[in-house]
Amino acid sequence: MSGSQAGADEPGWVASTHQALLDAGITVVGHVPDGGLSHLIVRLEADDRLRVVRLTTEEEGVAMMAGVHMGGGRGALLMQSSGVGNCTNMLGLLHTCHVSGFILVTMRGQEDEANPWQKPMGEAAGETMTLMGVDVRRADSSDGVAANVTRACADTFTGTEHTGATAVLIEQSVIGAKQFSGDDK
Amino acid sequence: MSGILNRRDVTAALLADRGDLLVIGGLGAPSWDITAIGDNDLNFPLWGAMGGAAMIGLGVALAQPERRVLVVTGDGEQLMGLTALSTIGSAGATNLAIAVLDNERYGETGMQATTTATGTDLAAVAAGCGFAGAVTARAESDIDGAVDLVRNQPGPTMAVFKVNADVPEQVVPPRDGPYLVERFRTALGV
Repeated sequence: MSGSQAGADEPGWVASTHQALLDAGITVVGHVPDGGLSHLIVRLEADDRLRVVRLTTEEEGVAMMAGVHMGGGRGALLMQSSGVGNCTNMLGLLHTCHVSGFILVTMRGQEDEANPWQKPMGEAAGETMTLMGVDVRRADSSDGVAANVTRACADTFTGTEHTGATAVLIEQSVIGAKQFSGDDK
Repeated sequence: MSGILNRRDVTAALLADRGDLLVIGGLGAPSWDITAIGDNDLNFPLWGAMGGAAMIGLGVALAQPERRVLVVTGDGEQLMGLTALSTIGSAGATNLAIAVLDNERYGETGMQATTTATGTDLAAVAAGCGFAGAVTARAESDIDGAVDLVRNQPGPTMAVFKVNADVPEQVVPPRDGPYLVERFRTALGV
């Protein structure tokens, strides 16, 4: 199936982002799930136009993107902001070897975060990737996600401005903060 | 108990008549080993990214499903990427194989023991993760069967070769990352 059926509660950015990944020619997607990515993952896993790999930890996806690039495909990695920390050293591979690859991160640890343990890596995720040579964009509106994905994919796969991977961080204000039992919001 | 096999003899057997085999070399001695047998545009020897060799192999295997991909790595490198065996066991890449040259030591940093010296059985882990085949070669007479598993049998497969702690001549490959990637892509025609 094409994965085109939207769930009733699917956020507005998901269908257009799915299409943006297809239009960018992504052939292999690795992910570690996040609540904010759940609808997109359902769509991608139902879409036989690309290959989805369920990763055990996020850094595997960084290495896999390098292999996909070497083999002539186009790789993407989907994860939550805490996963960025798991990737730090491996991101150096993409930078050192000028590997094209696209990373989509859903943010935790921002203003409305109800779990303080998410704060350190949430606050450091963007800067960590920048320090490791990834070109980072931030999407702060639902309408802006797909356009940022399209731009970031063009930059890494066909652009001449940046050699290496690119990323889009979807701000927590777009995703919505996770709620916990007993929290009075 | 540490191994008796010679790592260069094993590597030569792994890469004999390699044809269009795609080879990823794990950080450290395995990169020197595959280069000693013969540098090749279809070798990607790692100088970093420790723990990433197997997943780089998976990425190549998914992008090139008609080609055989062989990751040649060490026990320390594979242990750092142990979770990748779970991922690979589920990813369905029948053209991917991993050969581990297991000397039970971190050879590049002073020969400190790895956890394969004290119980971790990498072939058992791979089997437990759903690999199609996984063996440990301890004797010379085990080499041919283990090589056949990783060169010819449906994957994902793993062969662990228990090698001795000898340190052969360091034969270094090119270390320029973009060059190594582009020569690989060019040789593949992508």
